[in-house]
Amino acid sequence: MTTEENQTAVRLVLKALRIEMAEERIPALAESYAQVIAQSHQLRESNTPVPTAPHFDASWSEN
Amino acid sequence: MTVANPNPHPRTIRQTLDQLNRKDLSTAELMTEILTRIQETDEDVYAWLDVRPQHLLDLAVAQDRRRSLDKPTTPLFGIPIGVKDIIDLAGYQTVCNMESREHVDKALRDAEIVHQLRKTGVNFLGKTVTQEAAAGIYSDPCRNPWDISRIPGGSSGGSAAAVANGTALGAFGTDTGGSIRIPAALCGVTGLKPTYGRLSLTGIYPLSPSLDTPGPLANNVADCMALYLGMQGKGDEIDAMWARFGDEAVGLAGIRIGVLTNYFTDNVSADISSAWQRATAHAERMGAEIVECEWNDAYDARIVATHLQRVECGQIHRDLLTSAPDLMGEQLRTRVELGAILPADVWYAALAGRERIKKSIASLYAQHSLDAILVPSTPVTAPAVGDKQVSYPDGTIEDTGVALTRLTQPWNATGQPVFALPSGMDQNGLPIGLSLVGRPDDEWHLADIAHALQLSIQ
Repeated sequence: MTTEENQTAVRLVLKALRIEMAEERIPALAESYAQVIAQSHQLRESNTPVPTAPHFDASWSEN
Repeated sequence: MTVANPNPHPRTIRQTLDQLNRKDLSTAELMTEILTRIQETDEDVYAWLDVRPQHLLDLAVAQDRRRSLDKPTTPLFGIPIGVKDIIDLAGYQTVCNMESREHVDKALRDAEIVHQLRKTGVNFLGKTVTQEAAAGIYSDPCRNPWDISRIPGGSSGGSAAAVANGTALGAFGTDTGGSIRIPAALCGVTGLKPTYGRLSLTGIYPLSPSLDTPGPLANNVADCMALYLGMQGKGDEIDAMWARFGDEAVGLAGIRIGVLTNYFTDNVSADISSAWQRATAHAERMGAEIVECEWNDAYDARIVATHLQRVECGQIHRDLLTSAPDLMGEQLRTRVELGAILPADVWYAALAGRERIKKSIASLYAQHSLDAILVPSTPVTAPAVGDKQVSYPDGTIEDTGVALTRLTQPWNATGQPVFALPSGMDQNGLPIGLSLVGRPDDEWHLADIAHALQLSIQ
């Protein structure tokens, strides 16, 4: 996604969520947004597919 | 521009209890000492928000009367404690340093952990300063007692500064990305982030409920454990607990301590690196086996914690963002704006990632039979107020918020218990902190190791 496309996407999301924002804030927000989405994709590729309840039993009982 | 810390050997809870019980010190004298110190220094340090001197003195006098009649007292009778201002304390506002909550009603009841600790007889001095909504590391307007031109860290900055400055013997903190361990490190006090889920969050303003973890800050490991017991509603175990943490040095034979040679060694100041090596050498001399190992998922662990926090914080404050964004500080607003627009699958990816990370760190502990891991709490000591970036000897520059949370956040993703231990000073006379990371729900074993190490380092 280009910078411009990314900023357009962020504007659309903001509009859908009815969050008003000054235009000068958009570029920085869009850049952070793109960074998080990229990190999230990367994380997803490394993950095993099944998220489970947050407890330690299974992992640590094998120790 | 510094405030000389008058407490190079600060009061500990245990020593103070001994003095009170022997009647070498009265609760009123202790309270007067604390209130005088607050009056003399808090104009500079600004750790406190709402302290009511007459009420506290009346309380102390009543406690002395009870003691003089040899009536039964409770385990922490008369010990002065601070409460971070995102935690409900009955009769006080919980403002969370948020302009939108300036006129919020006073809390009608204590948060659960406050309610439980109150049963031990502590005196709650008042509320301590926090970062706005506990979302950050500056804790403005609070300052570091070791040098008031520097930040105390956050978000439990007021709590750490109060303990370091001798205006409380212990305090409540909360830790979502390092908010107990960072200020503990920067202010030179001891902190415990317990295992995620061990202490109740009821009555605590949320930042990121998947990560939020309350815990104590105090002057040593034993004091932290006494407060931790009290917060759990196990105050009746405190008297017997003190014997476990004697003043005699004990060995660490049979203990295996992991030293991570990647991620936690990147961009760490020379003074902190030296302190870490000294502590490792201390542990080895005490009989511990030092195991050098790598954990390749530390970066992913940080990403997991960051994403969970961003999305959850965004949801919590989204209404404020749409209704009154002008009442939000710049840092909180920026954080919430991003969190509010992220798609839900970022959150699910982070949750799935968290499970992988937990398995990964569990495997590392199992593979090397580790009892604990020792790493720096922060890569730098307290930055100056207003410094948005920190720099390293190799010329690298890093955002201050990123730098201070870089080494703490991975342990929020895993949820493990961590002791933040003061470990000497840097060349500018600022405290250095190390983190001792244990197995989940293994706080007592971790406390034994931390106590032994603390005695040795001191």
